[in-house]
Amino acid sequence: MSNPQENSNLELNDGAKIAVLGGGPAGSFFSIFALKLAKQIGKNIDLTIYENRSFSAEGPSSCNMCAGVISESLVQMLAIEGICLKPPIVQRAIDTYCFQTIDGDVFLNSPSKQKGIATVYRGGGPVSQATTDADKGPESKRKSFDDFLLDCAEKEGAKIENVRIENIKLKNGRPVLFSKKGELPEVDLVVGACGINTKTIKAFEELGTGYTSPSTIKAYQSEIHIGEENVSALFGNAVFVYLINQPGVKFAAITPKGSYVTISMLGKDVTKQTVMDFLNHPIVKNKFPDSWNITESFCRCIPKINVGAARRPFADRIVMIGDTCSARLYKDGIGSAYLTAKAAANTAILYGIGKEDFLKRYYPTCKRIDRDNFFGKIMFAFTGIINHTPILREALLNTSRYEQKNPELGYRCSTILWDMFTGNEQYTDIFLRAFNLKLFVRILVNIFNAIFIRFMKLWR
Amino acid sequence: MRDNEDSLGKDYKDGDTIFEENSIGKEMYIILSGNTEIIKKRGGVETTLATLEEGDFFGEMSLFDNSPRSATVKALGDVKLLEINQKNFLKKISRDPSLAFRMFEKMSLRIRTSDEKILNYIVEIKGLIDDHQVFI
Repeated sequence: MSNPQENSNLELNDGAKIAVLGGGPAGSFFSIFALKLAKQIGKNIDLTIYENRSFSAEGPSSCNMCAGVISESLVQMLAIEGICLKPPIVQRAIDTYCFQTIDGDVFLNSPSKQKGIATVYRGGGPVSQATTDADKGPESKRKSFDDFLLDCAEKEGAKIENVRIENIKLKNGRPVLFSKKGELPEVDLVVGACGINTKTIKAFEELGTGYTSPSTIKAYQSEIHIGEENVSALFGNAVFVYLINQPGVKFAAITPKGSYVTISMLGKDVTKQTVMDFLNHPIVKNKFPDSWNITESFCRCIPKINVGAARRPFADRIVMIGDTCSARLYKDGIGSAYLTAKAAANTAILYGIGKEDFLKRYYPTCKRIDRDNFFGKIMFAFTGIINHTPILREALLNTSRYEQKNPELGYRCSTILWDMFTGNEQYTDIFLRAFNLKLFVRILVNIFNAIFIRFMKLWR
Repeated sequence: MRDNEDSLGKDYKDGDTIFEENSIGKEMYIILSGNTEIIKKRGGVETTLATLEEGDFFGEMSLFDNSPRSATVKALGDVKLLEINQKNFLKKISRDPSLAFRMFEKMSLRIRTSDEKILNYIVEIKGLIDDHQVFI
């Protein structure tokens, strides 16, 4: 490892070359912001994105495999940046979250009173199962979110190479990339935006810079075709979150998109059978059309999701962004990609590309996400307790219902649930907001109510 | 039906007033689709100052100076707007000040355009005064 004193001189000069490995949101965001900023300060940058997949084809091989929900906060930040999300990228605009428990449900409306959350396809969409002509039309118009961002990066001046990077080596302190055809031209900076579900991440780990990829767990995503009319009639503009105490399942949600619904499940050893059991659960089955039978074959994937922090996600001339570095716990992975990509782009263009530059200017953003996840873990552990405790579950449900009926009292409990499950706010903010006397009293009253009702039932 | 279900933000119809001059507002707006016009009323006469299009924003001045709206904004045709409230906006800027770069860029452009217009008016008025003096 070279001397940090020397590294302070590592800067991107006019004509510098940047290689971005991965054309997902993190790679595209980095490219957009780096090229924009370079233009603003009159610097000419030669940036190439290496992505061997096409995000316009159907099925998991062309998809970046996530629930595809863009939080309201990110939708707004992107709009401020000039990246406006519209159909056919947006598959459904969301303004409501429904929390469904065994004891009933509560519908929470967006505090901003607008359709602010976007559901999108990360690839070209599920393997097509359109059955009617009405469904075939709109589906053919869908555009992948990742493809759209890649187009934005290309418009800013990024070159896109359909090449897989097989290996990375350091030669005289400079990273050198290798494809199947051999060594690629020398670059000044390598940006690791390959995600944690690709083999390229291994090449970074074997580079000898001390980089270790974050710890992961597996999620299960399935796309189920029920037809656009059914999606509109049964799910509308709402995401359904299920806290139904299914064994081994931490979290389950149904997200409407076009003529499909995406089922996202998180837990220990979630398999296709767990999804089938979920769909066969009376509360879930009740949500689907009576005539609808669960098909044996549906588009599904089991991606790894980041639940920890990477070690040393930067070195001289190398920076890791997106979920190869830090991501928000269970939620808003695209939002984390945006934050890390932007911080890395600002550092590289305005300050330098040495280890010390990234440590001082980029790493605080990653640390902030990691610190926030600590509070996220506490909040999700608490949600788990609520999910397994009928009295607490009922009390929380009734508190939220009461707030929805009496808006003049303020949406303390509802906004906590909203922000937590939509990924709209930082977990630290939500955690601090939970320590509120009025909220505590409201929940306590509902706990006593639930106990009293149970006691009366027993008495009779 | 689908067109509304997959469109973000709030919908406004042609001629709808988004906000009135001198009203109090704590929101800024970004145009997701369509056009809006910025109108100023003086002595009963309405003057269109500018027409904004997709990707443009307005209402941001009140977020920074807490003053009443400086002009009226109306929808020109069907418009979809994304509304951002002051608290959320300031939170975002405090976390990432570079988020304001594009806003500064747009605001600088507006000041340049206004400067150019003012200069043109001054030249025009000077010309009229000179003509008037020659005539006298």
